[in-house]
Amino acid sequence: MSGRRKDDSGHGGGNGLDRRVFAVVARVMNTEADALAPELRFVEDLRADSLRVMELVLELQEEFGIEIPDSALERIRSVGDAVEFVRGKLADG
Amino acid sequence: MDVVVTGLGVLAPFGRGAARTFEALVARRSAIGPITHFDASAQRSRIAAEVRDLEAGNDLSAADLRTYDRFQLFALLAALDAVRDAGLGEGPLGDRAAVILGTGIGGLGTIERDCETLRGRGPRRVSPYFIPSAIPNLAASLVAMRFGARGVCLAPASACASGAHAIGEALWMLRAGRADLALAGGAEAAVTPLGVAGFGAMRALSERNDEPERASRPFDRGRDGFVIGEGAGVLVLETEAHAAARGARVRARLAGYGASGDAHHITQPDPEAAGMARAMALALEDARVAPAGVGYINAHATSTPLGDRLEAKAIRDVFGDRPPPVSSTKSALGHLLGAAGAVEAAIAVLALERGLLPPTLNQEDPDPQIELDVVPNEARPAAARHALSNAFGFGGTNASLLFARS
Repeated sequence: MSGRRKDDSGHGGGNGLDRRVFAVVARVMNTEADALAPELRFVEDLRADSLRVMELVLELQEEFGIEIPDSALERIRSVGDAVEFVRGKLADG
Repeated sequence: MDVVVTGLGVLAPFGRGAARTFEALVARRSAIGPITHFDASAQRSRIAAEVRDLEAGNDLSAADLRTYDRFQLFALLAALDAVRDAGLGEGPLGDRAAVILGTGIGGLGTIERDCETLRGRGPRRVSPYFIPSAIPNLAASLVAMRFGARGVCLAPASACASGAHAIGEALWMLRAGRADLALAGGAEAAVTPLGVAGFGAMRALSERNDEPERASRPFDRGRDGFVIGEGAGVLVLETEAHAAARGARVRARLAGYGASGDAHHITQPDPEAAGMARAMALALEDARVAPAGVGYINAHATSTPLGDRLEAKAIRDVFGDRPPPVSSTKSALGHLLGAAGAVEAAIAVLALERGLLPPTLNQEDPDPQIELDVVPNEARPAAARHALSNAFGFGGTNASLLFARS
């Protein structure tokens, strides 16, 4: 992870990166980006099943050109986790 | 035990609604036009009967639309219409409700898309929804989930006879006491680049590309192959006792079912048409109806040179010198493959109910080898008591359903 400062609360997607992650999550989870918040969990709060989570991983990989290893899945359980993971990957990349 | 039809659901190239499809047929409209789903310019056959608009309204969610193959969406919408038509409530249908919903191919469009992903971007980019959207039984399962139908759930695959076999097998299942109610039918969405190319490679499709509306001409001497179509048909079938107990409106009785195999060739019918004839004879026997009691046959006749002639021969073999009027609604609707038998069963029920036989369009040059009254070009009033609906599939598989006016 980069240790870069979090830019804002992320509701609805704050900066460019947040906004893009929120947009992908919203599309996959069939909801509006405005309805998302970092603390919302995919399975418990957004009622995703395992296939939907896998689809989200695919779409995030596509959108950001990153690889998300299966070993990282247990760390990506909420919208905020996804933002942080992508941010870290891009910083590392 | 008598089995009755209490609900009809059709999503066809004429749009959503069984009555709408029937009325378009009677009005001599054609659903066939140039292919718009994809660039068909290099295909041999560039025409189809497409479902251009699902008219899903609030019946499907954005997630449904994004996730599932079209044959599954078609099935869901047709099933919804059938269940509403039957006056069944929103609650779960329960353990005694079966779903028997066939398809010829399954999620062909999904298979094509994910294959491109695999080749272009590698195996790790394939969608997790690829398998569920591709496999043939998932239309039946999605319908079962939607309505809480927890009885037998399966998908007969018998090519273009799938929808008819589904209805026939449901009849036997209900008679055997294995369920009280069944949602039965078929769905197909194979108007895709590979589907059209594949049937084209067999020279099975009409190449009358410049005259789409005149391309499907079953029984006519100018016929040159079928026109591919897509859609779904679902019937609500119930034991008479179950329907009576809930005060359901009975639209028709499903009186008989005959099924047979040719054991002859992968795509060509048996040249003696014995399998087709046997399916019809068995349906009559099953219903204990004499050939003279049948007032209408909705033929399988797809507009292929050999198939139509052999079905005509089979009809003469079963019905003798005075066969009932026979029409092929594929002349207007195209060939809906695994959905055809189910959609045409619904058409047969409506023909009985309304006392009106839908015509065979494009009858301009009668084929002397086809000695049938094909209800040419114009609908005809006729108070038939029984109607037979035929469906035959590649692999030499035949199904005949006999409906009785209620």
